[in-house]
Amino acid sequence: MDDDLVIRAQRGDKEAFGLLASEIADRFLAVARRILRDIDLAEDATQQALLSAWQDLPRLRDPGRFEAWAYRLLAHACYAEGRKDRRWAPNLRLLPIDEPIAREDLSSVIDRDQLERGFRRLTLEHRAVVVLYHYLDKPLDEIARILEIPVGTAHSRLHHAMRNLRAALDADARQEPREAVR
Amino acid sequence: MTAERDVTRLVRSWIREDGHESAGRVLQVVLSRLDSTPQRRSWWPARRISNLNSAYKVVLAAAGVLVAAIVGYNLLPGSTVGPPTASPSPSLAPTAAPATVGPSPTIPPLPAGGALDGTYLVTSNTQTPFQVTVPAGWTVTSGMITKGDFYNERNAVLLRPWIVSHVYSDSCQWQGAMQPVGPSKAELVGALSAQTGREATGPDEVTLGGLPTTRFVLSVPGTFDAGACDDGYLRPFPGANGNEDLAPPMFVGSITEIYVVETGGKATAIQAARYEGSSAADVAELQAVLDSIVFLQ
Repeated sequence: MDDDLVIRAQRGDKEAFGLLASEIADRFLAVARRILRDIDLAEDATQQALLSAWQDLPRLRDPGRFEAWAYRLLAHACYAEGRKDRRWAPNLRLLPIDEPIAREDLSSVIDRDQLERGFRRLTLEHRAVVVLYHYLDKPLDEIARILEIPVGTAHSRLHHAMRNLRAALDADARQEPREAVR
Repeated sequence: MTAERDVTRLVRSWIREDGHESAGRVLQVVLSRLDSTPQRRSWWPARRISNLNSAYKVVLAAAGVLVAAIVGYNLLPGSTVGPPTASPSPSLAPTAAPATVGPSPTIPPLPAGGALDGTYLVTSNTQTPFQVTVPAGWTVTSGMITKGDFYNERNAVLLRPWIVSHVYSDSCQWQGAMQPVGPSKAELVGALSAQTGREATGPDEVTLGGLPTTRFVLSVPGTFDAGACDDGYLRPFPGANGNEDLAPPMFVGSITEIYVVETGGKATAIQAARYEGSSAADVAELQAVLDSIVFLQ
């Protein structure tokens, strides 16, 4: 990330902020979509995070930490959008699958479905750690800094989330023999 | 049983699917809103002072002199705003403080973040505004007045006010244990007294900022295995309105004192926390910060 762009944007330069935002917006949407499992909520969260970044940029002391700081804003925007959604109804729409199902191995489809269900049962805070770790390949100490939580908490959230996802997959494995009998 | 490596592989593969998001539409909306979305200015000296014209510089200088004069006057003996009286003590025990006073227009508000040194007016997360004096070397982030990084340094110290709407019935297994609590001091004290999952002393009756106060001391010994607790740490209560994104963190080796005061029939909790590894000097500074609190009514 170009520090000069950050400094210019901090000074109110909209063009500089536009360049910064274009650089991160796609990744932000991808992260938000993976946390929230809903493209509409993800777009709202991304929009809110980018507007918050513009508003609060003058308060960022170290331009070199822009990216981590911006991801923190995104995580909080996702939490807010996710909680708004919870007030209505569970959103069970699955993400579209790029490849035709016919070309997929059946067990892989089942795995995806079970992972989707297991992931949706996680809290937003746990989901954020999983996405930052497994999607963005951020190390846990950096995730802790982004989310402003202790490293131990980041570690325990990842552990808890993975344990639940494994349980979701194992539940599927236990169901398979019964389904085969039918 | 699905092997650990299989789960990791499956999750990584699954989470990386559908990587074709385009935020073009979002970006367009954001850029179109910049003109109507003012930036929030920083609280530290602006680096653009050289860009100001001479007239603004003169006005700024005059304002600075005026503020310095008012602050200087307030620091004279007998003033309501005074330096903290440090009393080095390993345990925090608030001394009798001045009675509540009216607000002084000269006290700057506690900033949202950055370094602190002086007396500040705290209006967030409290039912009644209060002033507090903080020495150099302390900072504030999201309402937390700290010396050191309380989340990551096991010798930091922290002070923060909280408006408490819910209390965890179990401070260790706190997930799903949030219970609503009424606004009064008696109701909050009752809920905290009934809380399980942590070591505590109190409630004790003390005085803080000139107000009758109930104090709890919640300890998590350094030998405690917090692995069994949710997310590996303890919480007495969440943020206002049950906001679980915020909570006083009670990590292993921490000692958290909760001071419950009441103004206008509504309770405010002041958290003063330290670690077993905090230095005596830092604990004394925390004590002084606590002693400096004056509620403004």
